[in-house]
Amino acid sequence: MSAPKILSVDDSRMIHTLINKGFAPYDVQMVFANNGAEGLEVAAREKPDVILLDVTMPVMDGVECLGKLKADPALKDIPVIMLTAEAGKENVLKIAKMGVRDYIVKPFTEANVIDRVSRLVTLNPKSAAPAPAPVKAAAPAAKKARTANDALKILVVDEHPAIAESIAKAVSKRGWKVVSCPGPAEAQPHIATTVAADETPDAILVSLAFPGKGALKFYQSVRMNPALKSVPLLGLSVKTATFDQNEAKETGYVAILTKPLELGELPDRVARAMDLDITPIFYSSEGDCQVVTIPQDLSETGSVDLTRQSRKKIADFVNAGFAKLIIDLNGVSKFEIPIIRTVASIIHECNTLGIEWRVVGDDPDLSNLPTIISTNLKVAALKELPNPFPNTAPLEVHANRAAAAAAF
Amino acid sequence: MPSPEKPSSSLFIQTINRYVPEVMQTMVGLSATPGVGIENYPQPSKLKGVTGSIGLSGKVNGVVYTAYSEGLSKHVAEKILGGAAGEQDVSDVVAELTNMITGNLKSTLCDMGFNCTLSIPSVMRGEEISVSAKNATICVGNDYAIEGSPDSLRVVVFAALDN
Repeated sequence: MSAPKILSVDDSRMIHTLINKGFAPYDVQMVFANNGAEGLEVAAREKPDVILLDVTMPVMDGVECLGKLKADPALKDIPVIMLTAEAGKENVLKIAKMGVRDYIVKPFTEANVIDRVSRLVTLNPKSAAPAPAPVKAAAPAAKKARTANDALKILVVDEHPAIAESIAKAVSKRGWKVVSCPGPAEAQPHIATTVAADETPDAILVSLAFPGKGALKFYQSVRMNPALKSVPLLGLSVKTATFDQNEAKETGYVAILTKPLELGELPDRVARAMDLDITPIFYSSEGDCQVVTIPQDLSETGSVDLTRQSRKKIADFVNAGFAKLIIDLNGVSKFEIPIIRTVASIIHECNTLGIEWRVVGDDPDLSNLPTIISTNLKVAALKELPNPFPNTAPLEVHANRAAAAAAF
Repeated sequence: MPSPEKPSSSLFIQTINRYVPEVMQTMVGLSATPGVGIENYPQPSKLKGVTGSIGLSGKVNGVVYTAYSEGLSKHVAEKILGGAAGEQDVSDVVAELTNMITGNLKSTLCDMGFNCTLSIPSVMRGEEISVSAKNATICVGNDYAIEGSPDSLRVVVFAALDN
């Protein structure tokens, strides 16, 4: 895979120097432009993977440049991270509405820029260069490797203790810990303590019902703290408070969880907000076989994300020389949409990439899986999925993994 | 709709006292300790050395100046760039740091309802640079002791607020 190309558009040579220095230990191609007009030219010529774009520049400023990038069909999909000293609400809303992927508030550290870019492209250390010094908040490799199996810390800021309790219960199945604060005033000192102890939360869930736009002010204060600039914030709101929800999204809340909370979905919604790799929850190895275990309580969000992430996972198996996958459906007794989507997609991926697969399960109906999948692919939620079965002949189902492994 | 509460001189000083140390610590790795601050900074005034300036226009009209001695500006530039800094490098660093301080001041003012836009930074050099701003009702300044330097950084803000 070629090294990612990063375009820095800034009129300050100091910023170019800092960015160049920050990325020096990584295998990247850096290209530079001194204003928005040059930035458009270089972007068209170089087709970078990420653009770092200053706001205040002569000739053409960053806002105008962003508008032109987004209007150009050839360039509109390149993710843009804005660098701005103007972190006020008005400015943030303006650039958020223009489709910017992320923004970095000046002053910033090199580690902060590397952290943000590493969310969009894979940064590998240069093979000939020494591995980059461990920089607090940078560690892109660690960020990339962060999975839903990690011991994550969630801060819940909500006036109702029962909400925090139910969230704690929902995420405990992933081994995540919840700390709760009843309001922004209590959350601030707690956050200061976690920053000092280098134990900042991995995600923050905030009630949008605090008076005086408390949730929006809280968002701003969190973003002002360099140690917390990359921590995702999710809003908690009653379904009908759409104005608050829209305002929160425009401010920068990455997702809104509506009350009453769907606790089955909640861990997966939070995982999505944190851009976590959820495959380690489902995939494991057994001898020369890979195993994917699908639980009955797979949520809709979990299903969509597992389906998406499985494509890469299965391709990685092929690259690593694996050729056998056991699909473990023990415990599945009811074929709901999330399960059908995921199983059909995994089987299709295996067929496409030439991976042999076997199914394990204890439900007698499982042999009818081709019929079940073929029938359900007609429903709206699944009609985009390809049917992995050429016909509806009954499927051979194995009682356990050992039997399935022996059947390859 | 009620008029927004006007930012006071002390708020301007509090704001620059917050952001000057943050910018210096984050970008340069040096602590900047604020002095007592002056709420009636005289104008016109004389600054010397390497001085960055950025204009504010909109509901706030004015100028922010950051004045470094030659030695301090070179020290700061070389610390940031990690090597020898020529005159152009020094100007570039002073301009960018002025932009960061002023950008954050602007954000505070905008959040209070005093929207404004910033000019492109410019940098002047001289022994007697006369600074002032017409109709300014806010005239504040403060000196910041910079870690490891005998010289202070002076930040001056002249501003007029819309009614």
